[in-house]
Order: sequence, then C-alpha cells, then structure tokens
Amino acid sequence: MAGKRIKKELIDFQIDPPAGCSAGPVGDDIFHWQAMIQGPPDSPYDGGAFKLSVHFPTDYPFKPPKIAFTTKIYHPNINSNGNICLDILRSQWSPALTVSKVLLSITSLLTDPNPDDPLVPEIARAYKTDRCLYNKSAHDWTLKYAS
Amino acid sequence: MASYFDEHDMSNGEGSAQPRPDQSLLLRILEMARLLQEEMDVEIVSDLGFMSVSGKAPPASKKVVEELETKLISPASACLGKQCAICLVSFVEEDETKVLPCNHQFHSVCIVTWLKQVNSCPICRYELPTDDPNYEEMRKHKARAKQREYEQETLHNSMFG
Repeated sequence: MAGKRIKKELIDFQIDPPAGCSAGPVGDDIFHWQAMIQGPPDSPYDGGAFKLSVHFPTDYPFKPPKIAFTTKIYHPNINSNGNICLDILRSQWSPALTVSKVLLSITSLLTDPNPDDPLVPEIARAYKTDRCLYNKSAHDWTLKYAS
Repeated sequence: MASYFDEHDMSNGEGSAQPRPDQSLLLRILEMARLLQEEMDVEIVSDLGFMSVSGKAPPASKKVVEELETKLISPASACLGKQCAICLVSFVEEDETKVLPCNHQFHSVCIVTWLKQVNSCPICRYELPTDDPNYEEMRKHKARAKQREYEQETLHNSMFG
C-alpha cells in the first residue's frame, strides 16, 4: 500500500503544489524525496530556500514520514541536525496527512515558532526575550546558508 | 515594638539550634507531609508518563471497531468521486467501507489498520473508546477539568460579565 499511496501523493503534489514548496523523489527510490521550502515573506527567513529530506516508512501512511532540514536554519524548533519538533510528525500524526500538508505546517512553523516546546532552548530564549536578536540571527543564517 | 519572633513566642534560631520538643514534632510532621507530597507527584507523573513520553493515544477498543457500521459503496455514491483519505484512492462500486460515529468514511481495510494503532478519526480526530483503563481514566479526568473550567467561566461571567 505504501508505494501506491506515495505515487498518488506525488501526482497530487505535482498537480497542485502548495505555495512556496516543491518536492519529489531522489532518483528512482519513491520512498526517499527531497523537498524545498521558501522562507515565508512575513518571517526573517524571507528570501531563503530551505532543503529538506523526506523518508517514508514501509508502513506509510500509518506511520509518519521522517522529515528533516538539510539546510542549516536558526529556529527554536529545529536543531543543528535539522530535526523538527512538530507534533504532527510524531504523536499527532494522522494517515489523512500528506507531505504537502506537512510542508505547509512547517512553513507556518517558520512564521510562528513555538518557543514553549523548544528543541533549541537558547534560540527559544532569544525569541521570547530579545526578538530583535532572534530576527537578526535568523536573517543572517538565512543569508549565509539558504541563499 | 516586639519583634516577629517575640510576638510568636519563638526564638529566631540564632543560638538555639535545638528546636523545642513540640516544634521538632511539628517539623517532623511537615517533613513527612513533604515527602508524601513528593511521592504522590512522582506517582502522578509516572501514571501520565506513557502519554507524555510517546504522546501517542492507544488503539481503539476491539469491540467498538468490530461494531462499526459497514457500508458497501453504491453505484450512486461511486459517481460522487469521493476518495478514502487514507489510501487516497476514489471509492468505487462495491468497495467495503466503514463509517465512524463522526460520519467520516474510509475503506474498511484502511481504517481498521489505523484504529489498531490509534483510537481517533484520521480526519477530525474524533476519539473512539479504547481498551486502556489508564487512558480512559485520563480522558475522564480531562473532561472533568474542562467541565470545571467551563463552570468557573460561567460563574465568573454571571458575576462580572
């Protein structure tokens, strides 16, 4: 079932890609995709293009895909390995979700970080107590790594 | 003016390291109460641990899943072009489907596989009962807390609203 469903998702994605996102398989392996998210205009990531890796488990969609940033990003919920702290990628996964919907959620996570459930406490602190510093660092990293 | 310690017939601790007998008893009771409290906190935390660590809800109750309404797709509904949100394939005539209490419909094979893992509807997260007594207890607890919050809100609004 996994392979069939992933192929269906790929077709749907190509017909109607979500704003600012692209995705597709790496080579012939349908279970391994590369995705790209453009930094949202209303965020310090504006102008950046962030790459992500997507790995589907063999029992997809009953288990969530493993999605991680491969471009470095300064964000309270994304660590230096690119791991993303997002509930729908873990406990709140639902088989009705798709890569397209997850990429949209990640895009909104870039606009609205969740500092109360941080993966990088220092960045969460900056976001909460010194928004200027946070904006500047996020913007600097975007210019340095994602442009 | 008498000091705080004089007023309460106590010494301020300096020079009198030995508490009076009644005081030491009180201190021991307080200490026991504190230990008890800590122990209870630990128990509560470990009870909820299965939720906070994995965070995933348990499977739906076997009996409830067996009793779900089964529907065969009729020629008329096949024409509507609706698809199963799990496999993303359109329903075709004679497909066996199940309908959850929230009215969401899926292929039987698809939804049963999911409900063996997690108790909620993939679309709206409507929760089916589970066979896990701890989880059911926690759900009741959450529902009660929500009800209390609602009642307090109502009371507050009736006074100040």
